[in-house]
Amino acid sequence: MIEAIGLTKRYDTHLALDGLDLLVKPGEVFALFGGNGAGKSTTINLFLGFVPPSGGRALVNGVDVAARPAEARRHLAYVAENVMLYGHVSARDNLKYFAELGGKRLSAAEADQALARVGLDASAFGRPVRLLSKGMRQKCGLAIAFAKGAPALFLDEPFSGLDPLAATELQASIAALKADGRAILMSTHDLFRARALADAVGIMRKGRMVRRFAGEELAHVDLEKVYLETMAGDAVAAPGPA
Amino acid sequence: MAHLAVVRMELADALRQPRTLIVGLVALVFFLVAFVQGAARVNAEIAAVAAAQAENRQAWLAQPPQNPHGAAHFAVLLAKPQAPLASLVAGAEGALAGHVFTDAHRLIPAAGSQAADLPIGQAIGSLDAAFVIGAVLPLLAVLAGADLVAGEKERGTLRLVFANPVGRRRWLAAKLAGRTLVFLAVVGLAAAIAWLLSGGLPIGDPARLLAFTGLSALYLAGWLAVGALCSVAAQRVASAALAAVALWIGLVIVVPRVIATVAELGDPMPATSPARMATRVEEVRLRRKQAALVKALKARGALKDASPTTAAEGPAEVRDAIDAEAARARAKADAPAEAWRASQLRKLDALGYASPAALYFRAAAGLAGTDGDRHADFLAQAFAWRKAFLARLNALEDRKVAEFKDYDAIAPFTFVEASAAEVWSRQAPRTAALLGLLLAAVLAAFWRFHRYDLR
Amino acid sequence: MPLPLALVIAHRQADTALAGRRGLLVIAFWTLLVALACWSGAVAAGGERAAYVAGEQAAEAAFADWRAAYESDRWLPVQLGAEHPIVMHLPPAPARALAAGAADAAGAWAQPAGYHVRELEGRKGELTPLGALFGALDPAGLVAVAGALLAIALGYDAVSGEKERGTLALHFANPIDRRTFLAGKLLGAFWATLVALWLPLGLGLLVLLATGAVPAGPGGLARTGAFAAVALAYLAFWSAAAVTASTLARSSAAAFVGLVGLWLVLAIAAPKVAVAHAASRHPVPAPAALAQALSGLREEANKQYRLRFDAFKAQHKAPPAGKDVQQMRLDYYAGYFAAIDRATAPHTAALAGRQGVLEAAAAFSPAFGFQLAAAELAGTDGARHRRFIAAADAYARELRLWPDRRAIAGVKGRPTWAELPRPGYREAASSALAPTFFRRLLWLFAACLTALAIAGLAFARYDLRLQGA
Repeated sequence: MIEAIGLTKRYDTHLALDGLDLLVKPGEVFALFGGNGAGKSTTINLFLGFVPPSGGRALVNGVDVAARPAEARRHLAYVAENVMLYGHVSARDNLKYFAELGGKRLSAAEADQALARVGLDASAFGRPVRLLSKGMRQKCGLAIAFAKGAPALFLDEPFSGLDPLAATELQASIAALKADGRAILMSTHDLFRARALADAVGIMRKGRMVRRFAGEELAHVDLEKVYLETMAGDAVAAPGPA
Repeated sequence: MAHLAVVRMELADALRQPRTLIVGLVALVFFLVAFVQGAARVNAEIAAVAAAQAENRQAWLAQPPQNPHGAAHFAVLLAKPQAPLASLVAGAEGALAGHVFTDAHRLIPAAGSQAADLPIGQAIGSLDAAFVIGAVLPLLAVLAGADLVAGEKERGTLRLVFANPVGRRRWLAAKLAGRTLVFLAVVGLAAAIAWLLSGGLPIGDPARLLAFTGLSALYLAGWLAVGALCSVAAQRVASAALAAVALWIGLVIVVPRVIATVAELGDPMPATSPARMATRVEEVRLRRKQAALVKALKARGALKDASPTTAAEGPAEVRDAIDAEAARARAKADAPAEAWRASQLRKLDALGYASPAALYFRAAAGLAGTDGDRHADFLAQAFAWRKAFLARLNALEDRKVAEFKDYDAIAPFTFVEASAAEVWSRQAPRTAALLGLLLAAVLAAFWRFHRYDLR
Repeated sequence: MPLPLALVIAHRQADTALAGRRGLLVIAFWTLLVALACWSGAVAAGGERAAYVAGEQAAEAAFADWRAAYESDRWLPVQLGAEHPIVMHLPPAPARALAAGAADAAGAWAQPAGYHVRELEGRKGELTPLGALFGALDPAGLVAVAGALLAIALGYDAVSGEKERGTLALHFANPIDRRTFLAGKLLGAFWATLVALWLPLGLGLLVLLATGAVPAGPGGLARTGAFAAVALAYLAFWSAAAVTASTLARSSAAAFVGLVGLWLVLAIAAPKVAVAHAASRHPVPAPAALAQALSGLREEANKQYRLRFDAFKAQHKAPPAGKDVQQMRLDYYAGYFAAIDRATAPHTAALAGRQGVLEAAAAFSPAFGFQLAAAELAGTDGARHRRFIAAADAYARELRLWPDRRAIAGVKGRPTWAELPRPGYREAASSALAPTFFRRLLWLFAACLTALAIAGLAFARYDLRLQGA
């Protein structure tokens, strides 16, 4: 379970996140949209405990991240936008390493199983990660999250830069994690894949979640149109140098 | 045991990194050159001194009057044995002479240091193991350290790591320990291989070698920690590496060289030639005074059946008085230079603490016996040997022994090395300072990492 | 119009290298180092000059004291040759502040007594071995080591950085040929080096001249100017090497690592290996052995002298006196000196052999070539010391022969200071350095051109495509 209650982050005078309320239940995917600087990364950084909140609370599985960061991190897994692992080390050893940091010692067979589950080709298991394509590395990142078995998952732009086939495969893997009962918070620009995966979406702008759709509403809304409308507000608010 | 996993990953990563291979190869090549040249240097010195000693013996056998008086005036060669770790640390030995001659009245200052015959060589320095460890490897160590945290950040693995319940302090400790271990192991292995390839080195004292190795490991670990400090102070590897290289240039290349200038500031080396001129004048004056005294004694018939030495140079009281006066005159003439030397040594010792490299070079040379202290010991022991030898010859003369033929009966001069405890205790403050630096760098790195931006 | 385009690219390159905080830091750091090195050189030069003046002042007084020790005018010529306190001081190097060279190790004066002057005395390293342990900081050493590293830092990413930034393809989406681009990059790197490294150095040199730390006058000016020129050529070599490496390497990081390796070999290891190799390839006889040999020769000469003396006595029924003994002594010296020359020939030959090794190393390592050139310009090179030692050796012989010649000429009494022959050492004219200087400069240019040629060849087949994907 992932929960934000009035979560706020202020850098000096700049309000990066303004009173975010959010709840992602097990087996749910919440997708965050928004332009650059809208507050998506800040949200994820707050949940990871990399920056302290200025107000409100970020809860992972009911644990307050700011109060008990180590405990919270036991319950979460994270996939970066561009998964750069230890390039000279094999995918398998990278996975085992991060699993151990998460408190799980895996055998080689278990590691391979986790890698296979995200659809990584078996020939890639033993190869140094720097030789893998971006899509394959992204799958490794997902496998690491998988292997940890954490109930809360944070995905940072998982589809960026992937070819359609790789993206589709990754989408299937995320769907599998969702079916596995994980609560997933992901930031993305890919409206179509998000719609396919997410149970709820939010559009952020200037640190606030300005629109939010879930359930029936999500099924019927024209996300692209709403998104463009919301962003157009930006253009009005910040007139260009015309 | 998450931190053990970090150490293991560090090892696994290092084993596959080309960087590790580069460090190993650079260390291997430099060590190989250093060992080969060190062995050549020391063996050449040993051979040269042995040859000179053989010639000294030949010269003795060839001289016609072999009596105690002649023996006193024969220039006996006293050779300084090679310092225990001279093959590893050339130190200041190149600037110092390797032997002295003695005769009845003085130690004839030894000519011919290596510097005299290749002065530019002394300025450029030798590529000995101490240079490899003191100057070259720190560059690699500091660069290895500069990648420690900033590298993880650039690869994005830092975020992945700290998405897990891993404590910052433990993680950094494990990373630092792992990388230091790998670095020291690779460098040690390179040294061992170079040692084997070079066909061995003349090493005088295994205990000192052990101390030298420990000192070197401590020093290199310190540089790695300094690199780690750069790494946590920067967000990118390139900036960390730039800062690390600047620190290296400053502390290894510049500061040790500035030390000598600072020590001489307002305290320039006095002219040394006036002392020589004064001593020469004094020698003439004293010889004439001695001759006058002997002449007066002879006129009174006091030296009728005296030994050759007494007949030529007067009885013991006269000789001793003249010797004492000469020694006083020499001491007076040398006083400015001696005072300068003492104040310089004090200042250089103190200023050495301004740079870990200076500390290391100084301590390594101290352990090796090539820092000038041992040379002073050598001169003192040679002086004592000469006194004892003269006393023996005078006793022979007093017993009216007319012949002294046997060169091999001259008590051989054996230089007594300072005890290991003494050598070690002399370098203890410097070792402690290096240890302090290591701890300070590590603590600073931890303190900085505590507030490091993980995003 | 390729040249203006190349200049545009050069300007961008120099601007990138020196942009922002990094450029400022490099310039500030380097200026600080140059200031320290110039200051350090000036302190050393001042100390050397003061010691020289003090020594020369003491010399005349010491001779007067010595003369007074002999109360009467009863004066044996042999006493002047054997016992005089005269010391010959090596004049301060014309531009000591520029390069320490061999100065601290070689010694500062010689006493032309005994029969043979083998080396100079008053070596600083002997008095304070610790100082020798740490070495000296001088502009030449700073440029050779740190300057090279900073020149690398200013140019190692000239080409590979463009590729990493993705701007390389942008360049070649325009009608630019490869040669123009590379020329622009090289010019830019040179320009950055000139501005960030050479100008602060030039400023330091001007300060040295202005404060008199390097005595001005045509000699000092010419030497300093030549030093600046050779330093520029040397830094340009490292600039060219940096750009070359960045066209050869796959990434800037790899280029940097390769360059640091090259720097370790050429600037750090090569000079040290060269001097050690020179020493082991051409070993000098142990000084003790030479001393033994000379004393053996003297025994032999003395024996010959005694034989002649006895023969004279037998023939004339009286020992030789006056001109006879004086001439006999002159003959004795002539024979003994010839024997010394034979005995010291291996030593002299070994020293010449060592110089040969150093010359070869200078051709291989630009850093070493630069350091030798700097020492020669500063007047702190080993060759100048050898020339002085040779003069001192000749003077020692002169002082042995002169009293007897004087006596034969009928001059009596104790000689006065004014009467004494003067030592024959003359400082070489600055212009005499020109051939060596231009040879060294030419070698540096050759090294530069080699780097440029490699860069040209490498860039002709450089992969312009974007990396990764």
